[in-house]
Amino acid sequence: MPNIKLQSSDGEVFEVDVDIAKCSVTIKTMLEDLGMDEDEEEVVPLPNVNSAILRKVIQWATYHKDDPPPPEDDENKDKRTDDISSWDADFLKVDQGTLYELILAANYLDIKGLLEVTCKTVANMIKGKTPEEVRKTFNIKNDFSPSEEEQVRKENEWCEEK
Amino acid sequence: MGHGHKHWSHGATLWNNKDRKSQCCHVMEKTSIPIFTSITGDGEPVRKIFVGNLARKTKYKDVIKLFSKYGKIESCFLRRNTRNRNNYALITFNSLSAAIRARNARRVILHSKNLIIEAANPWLQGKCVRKRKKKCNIVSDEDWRENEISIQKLNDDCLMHIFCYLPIMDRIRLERGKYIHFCSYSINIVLKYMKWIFMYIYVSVHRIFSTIVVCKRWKSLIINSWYNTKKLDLRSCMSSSFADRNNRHMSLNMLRKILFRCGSYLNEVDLSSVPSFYYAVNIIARRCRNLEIINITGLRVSRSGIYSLTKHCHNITKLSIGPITYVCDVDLKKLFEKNPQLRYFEVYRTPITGRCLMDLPDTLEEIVLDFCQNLEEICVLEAINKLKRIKAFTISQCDCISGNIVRFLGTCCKNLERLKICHVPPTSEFLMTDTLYITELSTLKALTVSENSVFTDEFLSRLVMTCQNLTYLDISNCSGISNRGMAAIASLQLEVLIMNKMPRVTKVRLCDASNLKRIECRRSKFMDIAIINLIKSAPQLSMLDLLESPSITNITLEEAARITASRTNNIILKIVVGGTSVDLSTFNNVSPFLEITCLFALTLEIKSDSTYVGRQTL
Repeated sequence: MPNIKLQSSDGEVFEVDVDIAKCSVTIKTMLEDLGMDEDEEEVVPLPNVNSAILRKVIQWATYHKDDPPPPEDDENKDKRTDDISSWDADFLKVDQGTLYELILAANYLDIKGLLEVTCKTVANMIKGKTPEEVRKTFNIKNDFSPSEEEQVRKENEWCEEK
Repeated sequence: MGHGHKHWSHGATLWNNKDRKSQCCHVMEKTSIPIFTSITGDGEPVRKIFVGNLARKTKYKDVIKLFSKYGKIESCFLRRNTRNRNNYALITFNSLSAAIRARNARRVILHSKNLIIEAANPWLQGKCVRKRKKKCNIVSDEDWRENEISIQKLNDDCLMHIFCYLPIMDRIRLERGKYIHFCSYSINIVLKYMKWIFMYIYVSVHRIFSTIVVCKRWKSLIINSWYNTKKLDLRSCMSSSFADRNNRHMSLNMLRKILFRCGSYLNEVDLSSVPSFYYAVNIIARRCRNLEIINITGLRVSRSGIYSLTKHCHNITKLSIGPITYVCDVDLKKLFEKNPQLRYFEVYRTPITGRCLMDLPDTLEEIVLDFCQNLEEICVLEAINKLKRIKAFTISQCDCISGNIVRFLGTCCKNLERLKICHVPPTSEFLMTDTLYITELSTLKALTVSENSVFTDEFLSRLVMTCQNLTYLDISNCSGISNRGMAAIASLQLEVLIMNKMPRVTKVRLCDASNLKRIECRRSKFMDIAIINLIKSAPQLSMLDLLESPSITNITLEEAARITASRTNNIILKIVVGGTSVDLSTFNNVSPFLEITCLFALTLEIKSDSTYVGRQTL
């Protein structure tokens, strides 16, 4: 099995099976475009991902390496959020910070499956909450002044059921 | 606050059911007054009680009146008309002692119902929602922890991804401040339709969170994500959703709410096969002014509906309309005048005379006239004469179909690529010689002439001489065609060949079947050998429909398994074998590229009767 070396932002080098690394479209295109040969001792730098997160990403990719590729048609896809597998759910039992880091890494590395499952997790956290609760849960600063907020409320009143 | 998202009705009732049992035990075991916990785990005094099993007629003031005797009531929330559940109330007393007094009460009867009185769920204790809101508005800045990690570190791209997974209903709920018992994910709204079909409405839109005021950045992102909502697709899928019985039905009001939110960004709606909503068209027209593609063949369209479309929608490029119950030529004419960009027009089950067709824009590319019994021949002729650039023409089940129409089509429409003439009434003046005008259309790519007796072998052999570009041919139930005609079409490079119910055809041979993808020969007289040869010669064949062809036996399947096993293009061949002489219990040959489906005759009828199938594939 040919391996590839991935270097995280803090300098740690991970040796990964090429097939596993290629679930990241970013790495895949990098390898293809740069014509990096599989036997070359080249190290791929990933300046946006730190070692802790990269380790998690590799863990995820290793578990999911045999998954069928996700269907392409985004338009008609049923966007349900209750279909997270139990392994993924366990895998994502991490603090919010790590979760966001994972989303950013999945987005940067272009790993569709990981991005999907992490976003679903966050969406599940947002679901059913009032704006106040969302702010509290996600530690978001409310930058609306009370008068601005009232304005937004009014804007939306017209479409309410009487 | 962890359970904050659980709604009252849901949470409280579940809790209620569970604890009713335990309360019964209480009463039985202890004769003394039970000792209640007076504070919740969070240290909130239990001042709010849950009152269940209220009669339907019980009103707010009845509850207040009854419970005021235990102490001063701070607030009372009465939930009425809950489906499948009893009405219930949540009462907050202004003192703990009053709440305990109320909880100690035995056999409280109101409107001859024995009330259930419990402490309300812990997360409901303390603040009523209104208070909580007020408080949050004031102190939300303090809540914000400066140094802690925040979701805000995600870039816009990632946040948008997350919003895409939020149900549209979440948003509507947030705005209304009430919980809607809707399915929790995306928007699968189940409709009960007719007696036994559950329609499964599925809105393939980006689900957004929109105007929930979290912060400025979220708001702008959310508004942007509404902007991505382009298509509202309410499609049906039969009986697949029995599991979702609990969901409410799609109501007109629901549709209205969805359209309020994304209407102005939509450019496509598909409301074919939804139960008839009255006035839905008016709402769609008013809300969705930028619509380009409209399919409302599932809706009853009234005069005012067409008026609304005329008034509000001026960018329509594709319009499918019907059934309409009145002669609407004049109204449609006005609609066409307002929509010069119209490219596709379909009318179904509508008593138009055809006068309005003259006002269709010259640039129209496709017209479908289906089941319009009042059409007048002269109007159709004039329309054809005007719409010379038309690329696709469908006329089906109309009394006016005549030889003249075909002659006009053949001589005027030199760009015609797809033609469908079905169900010509036997009484019409349509002779075999008229059919030959079709052969003058050398650009023709798809031709459907099913359910007609006037088309003959002679027609097919003449057709092949001029229309070498044909890739789609449907000659179902054309009793005039026999083996001789089928031999003639051998030189065509067909992709789809449909020849259901053709008793005089026993052979089919194509010189070049390399592009062939689909063959339908239901109720045919084909023998095994003819079909096997066909499979051999067609490496791309993916659909072979042999329903009710009695001469087909296991030999076909065995051979199909053998041939497909060596396929290198990974295309799966699907064979439909219901009603044949095939015995699947003795067939055990396996091929990775063969899929055998055994459908029943009943399903066949549904499928073959619906002109929709044909319409889609043409």
